[in-house]
Amino acid sequence: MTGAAISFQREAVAEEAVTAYPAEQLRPIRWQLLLGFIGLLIGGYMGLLQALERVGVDFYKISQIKTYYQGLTLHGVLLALVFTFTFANAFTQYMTIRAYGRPLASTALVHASFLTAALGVVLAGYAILTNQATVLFTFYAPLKAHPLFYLGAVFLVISTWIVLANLLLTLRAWRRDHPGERIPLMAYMGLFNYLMWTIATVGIAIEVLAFLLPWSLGWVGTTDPQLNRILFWLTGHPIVYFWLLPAYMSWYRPDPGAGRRQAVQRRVDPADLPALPALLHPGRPAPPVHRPGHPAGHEGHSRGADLRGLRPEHDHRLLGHGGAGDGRPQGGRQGRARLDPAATLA
Amino acid sequence: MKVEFYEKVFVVLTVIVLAVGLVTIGASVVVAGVHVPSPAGRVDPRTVAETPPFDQPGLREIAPGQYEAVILARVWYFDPKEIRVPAGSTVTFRLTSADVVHGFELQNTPINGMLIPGQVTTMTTTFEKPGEYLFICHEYCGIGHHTMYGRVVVE
Repeated sequence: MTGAAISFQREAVAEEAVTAYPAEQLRPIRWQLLLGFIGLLIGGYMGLLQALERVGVDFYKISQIKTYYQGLTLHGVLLALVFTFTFANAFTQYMTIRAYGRPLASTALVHASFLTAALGVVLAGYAILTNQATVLFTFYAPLKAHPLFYLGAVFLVISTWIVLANLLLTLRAWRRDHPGERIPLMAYMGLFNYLMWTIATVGIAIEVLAFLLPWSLGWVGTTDPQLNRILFWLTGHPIVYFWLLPAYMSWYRPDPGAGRRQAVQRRVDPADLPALPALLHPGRPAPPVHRPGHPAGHEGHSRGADLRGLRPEHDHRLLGHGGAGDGRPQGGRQGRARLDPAATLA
Repeated sequence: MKVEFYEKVFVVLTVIVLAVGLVTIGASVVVAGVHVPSPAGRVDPRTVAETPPFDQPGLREIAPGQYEAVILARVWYFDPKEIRVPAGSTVTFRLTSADVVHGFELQNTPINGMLIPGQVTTMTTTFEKPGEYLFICHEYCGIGHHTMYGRVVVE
């Protein structure tokens, strides 16, 4: 690939990193990913039904879906909530394991995250499939759903909180063993996505727990539609970033597919970022990118947020450094990026 | 702090996009007459049908060429479904919902808002051209959502 300037450098990782994939944690992570993709499949199928309905082909009846809006609710909940949460949970947990080169602090929490997400899907899924929660994924009050729908939403959100708890515990454990070192980039990105997201979920948590759930259970008579709507979108708008950031993360850390036997770290230079969209077209060679004034030395790779010690950094221990002037190991193959971060989970 | 060339370019582009967006929004208010529906007060949705002006929905002339259209949205119809005004009239819509969240979009006009139970929404526009203007509920409100519409006839 002559002229390609997105030059991800590959370097074999030390043996310790290869043994760092704990099967007992990867298993629930895989299940959670699978749960998300089952959701994507069913939710996507509902989208197909909507399109077919427009041209007069009705697949709702044979799909056991009573109305267009019931299918639309299933579509929205599965794609905007279920797939988003479960994929981000699985991807972030996995990437954090890779970034630190060690298991997450708590295996129990990895299981707990999967189980709460699965419970949320079962509860909300029951309410929707029995046509007792045809309220779309925005569930604006005073459209009222079955209480289990709201409870399911709560459990789905809790599954993401559990992941954050585990990321924080893992950071603390890693810090203890690596005093003064910078957080590996992927761990940093995952952690901050989850911090941002957890702050954002305050809206939906208050909406559901303080208002909608008690109201749907009949404990309180009324609820304020305006207030509920505002609280919903306090969470609803950041959902977009919550699901987008894992995609960005995958760009920073495309997985060359070497998998378990030879974990590989690629480095993306910030100067290459404008060319990153080219990675979305893995079949095409990336356009040449000139990098005028690219600084020699390592500081060129570590700019960005410096949040009192939470500074992201590529893992030197995993990378190893060549003596090249631009801080890159020499002799690394230039590779085209492949966007299959989940491949090594299979 | 040294900033990479491409990073600089992207920062500048981002600022430009934001600035253009802000100017466009400002221009839409001044030039195109787009207004955000203002919260014009609250009304108890449980007694809205007995509360003026929603106890008598419909069109009334408040000055020559100036009208007020009071419309109450319910599952799944607007009351009234049709209003008729002469061309050149300025109409202030005063809207609310008696039950769930509804929407009110008057097609080919800047009138577009949500009707939230408990809140009164007002929007004003002038109808220059005669014709039929469809208004629809564009906020999901239940199984009959797509049957909820009406029209303004400008004569």
